[in-house]
Amino acid sequence: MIPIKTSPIEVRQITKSFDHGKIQVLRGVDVSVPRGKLVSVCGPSGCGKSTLLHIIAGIESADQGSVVIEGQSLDSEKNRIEALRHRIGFIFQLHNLIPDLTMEENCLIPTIATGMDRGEALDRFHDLAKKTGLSHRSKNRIQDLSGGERQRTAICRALMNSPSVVVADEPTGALDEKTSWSVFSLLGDLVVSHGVTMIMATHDLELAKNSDRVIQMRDGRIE
Amino acid sequence: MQFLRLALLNLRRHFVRTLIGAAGITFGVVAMLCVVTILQGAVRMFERILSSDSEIIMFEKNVSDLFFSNVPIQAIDDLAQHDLIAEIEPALFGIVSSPDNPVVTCFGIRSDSTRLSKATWLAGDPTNFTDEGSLVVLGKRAADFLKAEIGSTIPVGHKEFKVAGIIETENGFEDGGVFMPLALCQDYFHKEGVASVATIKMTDQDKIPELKEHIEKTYPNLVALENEEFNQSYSQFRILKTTSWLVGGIAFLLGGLSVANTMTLSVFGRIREIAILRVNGFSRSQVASLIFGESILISLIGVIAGTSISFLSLHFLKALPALQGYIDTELSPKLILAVIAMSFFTGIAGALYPALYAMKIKPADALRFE
Repeated sequence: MIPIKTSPIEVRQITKSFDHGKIQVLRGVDVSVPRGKLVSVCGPSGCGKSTLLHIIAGIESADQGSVVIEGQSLDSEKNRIEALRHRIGFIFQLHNLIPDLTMEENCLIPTIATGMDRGEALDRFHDLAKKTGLSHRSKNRIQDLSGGERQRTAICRALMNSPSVVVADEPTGALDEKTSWSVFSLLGDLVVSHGVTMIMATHDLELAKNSDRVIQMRDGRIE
Repeated sequence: MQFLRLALLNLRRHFVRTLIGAAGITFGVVAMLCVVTILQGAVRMFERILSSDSEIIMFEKNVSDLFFSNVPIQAIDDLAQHDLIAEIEPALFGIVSSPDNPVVTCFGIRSDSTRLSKATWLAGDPTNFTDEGSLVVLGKRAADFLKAEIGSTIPVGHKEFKVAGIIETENGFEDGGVFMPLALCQDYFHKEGVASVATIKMTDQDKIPELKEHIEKTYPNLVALENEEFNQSYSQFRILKTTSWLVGGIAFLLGGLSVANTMTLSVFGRIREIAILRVNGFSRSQVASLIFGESILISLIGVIAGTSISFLSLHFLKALPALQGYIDTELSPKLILAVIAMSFFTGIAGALYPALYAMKIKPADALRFE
């Protein structure tokens, strides 16, 4: 059992560098996100937002420090995969969907990794497609969808395995203003309706203002 | 099941690539099945010619080709008196050419030979084929290509012979052959007093070792082998069998390289996609399993297509008039199993490098730079 008061996302003194230490991207970052809250990470390009989110999601490992998601440390490959399968959903700026698969096929990918029964996976998909307003597009290939629909598909996919944490790396970065707000409000609704904890990187300060908390980053540190 | 569905989906998405990979295996399977089936069929036909429904074959010791074997007729006649021998039959083999046919096989046999008595006589009277006579009997195919009928004279090498009969046998080589009285054949090939082989039918099969020992002691220049023993040891058969497996194996190897190439290109072209799978919870081993699964499926498609094409090709070849009787189209289950096993192995081996490469893909780097 996870103690109720434990933050689902606990990041302690994370450092990360590239090119054999020549490029220092994160310089001792601490983040804690309370359960059911939406936290935005803002900052200029190159400040380390994406790297921080990749490390929180377990896509990348930190040089030093610790990441604990729902009480489990992401200090090993096994734990990181386990977290990506069951506890974390990741949304990219450029959606990162497989273009020549249909929307439904893309969304079912995380359920293949977990070995979920196809019937159960389809039920889950239909439920999420309805919530994201994409039921009528489920058999369409990704290249036939609009930018907003693609991003909503990515959201749908991120929620397929019912994660308790969603990490979104500039999910509205490639969308126009109107679509950005529609995607952002969808994310907000999902946070509330699914009880999800979310950390999101964004350049858009207007969007960020509508989240529960805003973290400002500069030069690999939190201001 | 979901995993298999994804592998199939990936193959369908990269249809041309899948087709090229499967085509490599298909050609490998066709080459393997056809070459091995045809050559082993030929070996079986030779075996049947040589053994002629007997249990033991006797020939000259240390000859690598039975056309050069000399078994004295005196020895054969002496052995015919032995209690353990029910029947002993000499046969002299020779090869000549006729104007339009580079290879005509001649069989020097006695008039009571089972080769004639067991054949279907299409024309002529068996009683006209006598030990002292000069009339010959033709196999059906030989009669066709020599355009011969009863009573006609045919050129065989440097001489001409009159046809006494036309027979049909199940064996392509015999069907394309000329059967001569033994004495006439000996004279024609300058092999007076000898045969190439003698085939022996036993009165008591349990006493084969006893007879073999007797032959080896009495005739040190001769060797007697049971048919199976002979088939295993005769160098010509071994060369044919080894060649067939070697040619088939090399063809298969090329098919395997085609799968390896296809899978390598497939992985190189899907680095970002593999990274997406990793971000969505696929472990390294699941990614590798997917690559292996796709490769094995390609091999499976190749095996099914290759086996079907081989089956049709062999039947087509068998139906060609020029090859009638020479092609044995029986695809042995053992061979098919061997091909399936080799395909499975090829699928795995072909995916080894691509799978290892895919396992090493770092999702963050791949998504950042690809």
